[in-house]
Amino acid sequence: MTIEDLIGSPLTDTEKRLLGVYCELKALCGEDLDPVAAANVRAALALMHTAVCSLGLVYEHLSDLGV
Amino acid sequence: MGSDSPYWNPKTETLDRERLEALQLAKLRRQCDWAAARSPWYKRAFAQSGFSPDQLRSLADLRRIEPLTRSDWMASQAEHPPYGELPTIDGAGAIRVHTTSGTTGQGPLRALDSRKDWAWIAEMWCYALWGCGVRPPDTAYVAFGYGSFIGFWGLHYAVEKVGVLNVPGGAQSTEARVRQIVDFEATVVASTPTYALRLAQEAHSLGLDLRESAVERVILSGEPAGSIPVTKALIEEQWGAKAFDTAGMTEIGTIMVFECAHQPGGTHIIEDHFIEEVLDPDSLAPVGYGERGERVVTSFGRGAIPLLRYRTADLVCRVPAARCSCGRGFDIYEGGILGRADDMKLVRGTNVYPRAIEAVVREHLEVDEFQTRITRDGIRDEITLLVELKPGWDSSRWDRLADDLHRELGLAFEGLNFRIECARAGELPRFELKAKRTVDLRDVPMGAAR
Repeated sequence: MTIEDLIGSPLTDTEKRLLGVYCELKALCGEDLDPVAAANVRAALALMHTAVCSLGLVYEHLSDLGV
Repeated sequence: MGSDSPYWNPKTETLDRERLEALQLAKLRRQCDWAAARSPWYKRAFAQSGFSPDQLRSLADLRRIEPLTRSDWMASQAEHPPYGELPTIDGAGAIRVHTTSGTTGQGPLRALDSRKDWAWIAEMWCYALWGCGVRPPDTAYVAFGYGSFIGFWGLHYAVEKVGVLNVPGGAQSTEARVRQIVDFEATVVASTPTYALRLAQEAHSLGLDLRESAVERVILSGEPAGSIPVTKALIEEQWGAKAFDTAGMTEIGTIMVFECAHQPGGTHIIEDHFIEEVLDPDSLAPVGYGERGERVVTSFGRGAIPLLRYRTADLVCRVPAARCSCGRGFDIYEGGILGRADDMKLVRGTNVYPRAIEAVVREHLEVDEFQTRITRDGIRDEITLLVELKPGWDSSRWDRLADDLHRELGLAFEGLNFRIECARAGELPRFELKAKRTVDLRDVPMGAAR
């Protein structure tokens, strides 16, 4: 897992946890889930992406995951 | 800082300039990689200009990318309907499409967005709402039509994200909106500046005094008037509330600037999500702090439509972040959006900006509505200000008002001779979204347009 943000600062414990949730949601999005889970995981991932991107932890787009 | 932070995103809003630019460069490299890989438009444009994202070693290298214009986007849409070649996804990969309001007369642009992009669109409004002090348990009234124009859609979602009670004011008459604002005890109202004045006018005719309502903040967007001091003061006086300016555009999907609670006389640029250049519109050379130029925006938000160096035609004057005492590292557009390069009218050799006319006219509280008409009489241009007076105003004072307006507009516009005419009550159009108060009839056959 990433240990620095986009400008090279070490991640705080909270940032590590946020990034962990984000990565877990991304992993779930890649799985063949029932509609109820798939749609809600994508919705959650879109919001988690906004948090980790605004905090400068990652920068990427998620079109390939349908998000 | 935690939940009592005055900033929505304390980590990035308080970065110093060096670290802020390092963040922008990191995002820019990735956004350019994405555009080069996924957008047919950028793939071709980069190849034609010899640009490669790995040439981005500093923010100055951004200028290696050719600016994108609205005409480019429109032409691409026409050649590859319905969305053109800018998008990285097609309609099947998106969840929403919005269009521009089409006020430039070229027809609408169509903007696709993904689920992630919509989360980001709302996020930009959160910077503004939080920054001007909106918090639970506020109640927000969104005085907006909720159509295909993107307008306040992003604010609608941001209000809910912040945790504020949202009263969507779509599909309502102006009277019904005024009554709902009062009945729901809204503490925040979002509207265009023009419509904020229209709502106040309607309240007055209903015998309601908005100064006695619960409204504490009016969030303005959609027109430059939100930062015209006299218009803003008029809104604040009529609502008994503080007014906060924001500005955005459909092409980026959301707002890129907002006025913070310290109200420094301008709007902060959300610089962790945008690079805003201010360029001379003719030479495209950068202009310095304190100089007027055209906004050219690079956005990090949208993945569906990467926007790199988009020429906005917005005229701005950028000043350092230190101009404000709020502690943000985000620079400021002094006076907000000062106007649009394509709004400027040349009348007898004088540049006439609608915003500057409004700044003069709104000084006169007896003016209810106004319109500027530009006509051609033979080879001579004429400019006429039509003025509709507030109901009940003493019309015997018209001559004095007309003289004052004539003199003040002449002083503001290099001695240009404005004709001042009195319009009948209700003759001039009212607006819910972007007001269009300047009508140029010089190239229009008589009787073909108003």
